[in-house]
Amino acid sequence: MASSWSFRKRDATCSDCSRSFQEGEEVYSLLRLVVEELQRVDACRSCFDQRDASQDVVFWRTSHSEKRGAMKMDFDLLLAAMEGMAKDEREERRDLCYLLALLLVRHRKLRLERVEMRGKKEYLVLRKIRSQNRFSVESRELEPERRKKLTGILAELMDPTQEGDLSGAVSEEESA
Amino acid sequence: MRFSVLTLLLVLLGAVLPACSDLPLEDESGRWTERTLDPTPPMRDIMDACEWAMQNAGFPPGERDDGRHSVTSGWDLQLQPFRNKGRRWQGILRVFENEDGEIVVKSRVLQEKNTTADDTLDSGEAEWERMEDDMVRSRILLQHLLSQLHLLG
Repeated sequence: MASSWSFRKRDATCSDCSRSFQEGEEVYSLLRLVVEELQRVDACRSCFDQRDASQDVVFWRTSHSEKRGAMKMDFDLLLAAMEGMAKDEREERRDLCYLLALLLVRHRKLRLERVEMRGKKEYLVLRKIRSQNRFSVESRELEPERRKKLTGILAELMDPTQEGDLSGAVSEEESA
Repeated sequence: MRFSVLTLLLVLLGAVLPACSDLPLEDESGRWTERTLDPTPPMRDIMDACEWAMQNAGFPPGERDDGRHSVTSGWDLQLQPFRNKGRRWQGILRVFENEDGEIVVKSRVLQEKNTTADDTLDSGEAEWERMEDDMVRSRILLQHLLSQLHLLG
């Protein structure tokens, strides 16, 4: 299993206003959750500033280049996204948060310290590797269709075989 | 004569039956944690996931039984210098089909304490006594398994 994944290659136009990006222009890539749909968005500065930030899962800043391949997503970014979502009470986010937690446990970026019952709900108590910070994520019993959809979206977003070239992507990107 | 044979049979039966119910894999009275799998990946993938989960949950390698659809870890040993403080744990994962035709995964973690008074740090001298199953570790083990299975797609 690769230690990081590639996100789908960025579009050459702004997802919201459809304006073509200029070479070297500042572009904001983000994952957002609209109701139950996880979307990958690439936005110009203006559209990014006007977005509904409550839908954000995670975002990062890059500069547009015609030569560039896929965006390489590292686990630290996913970890930051998941930490933020762990505090979010919205139902649809808790499903995604749980799946991301399992993903990060599987890749040993998070340590599953224990599983606690709080009332009728089960919570994973997680600790970041080389850190004492602990946080809890609810263990969700996802409906098969819901889980399939979420894992499908994650796979599509992160499958390095989808588009782009992993080798050329990383060094030029700068995280926000 | 007939009486003594009958007695002998009863004694043997009495000795064998408890031993059978002690087999951890068959012991339904154990404290199992379980989840139904839907959709169901191929059995070979589930068994592979069981092995990975066992390893990721910190158990030493043990035995994979593809016929009985079970993975049993080795004993995870934690000796302590005091009597009754040393512990060892063994993880068990089972896959089976329930009455409704659904595929279910179950996890159980056996826990034992070292009751020997001498050489408490020598595993060869240890005398192990069964304790209540470790439910916390069993839940952790199952989550490790789900981390493999949920992300298969």
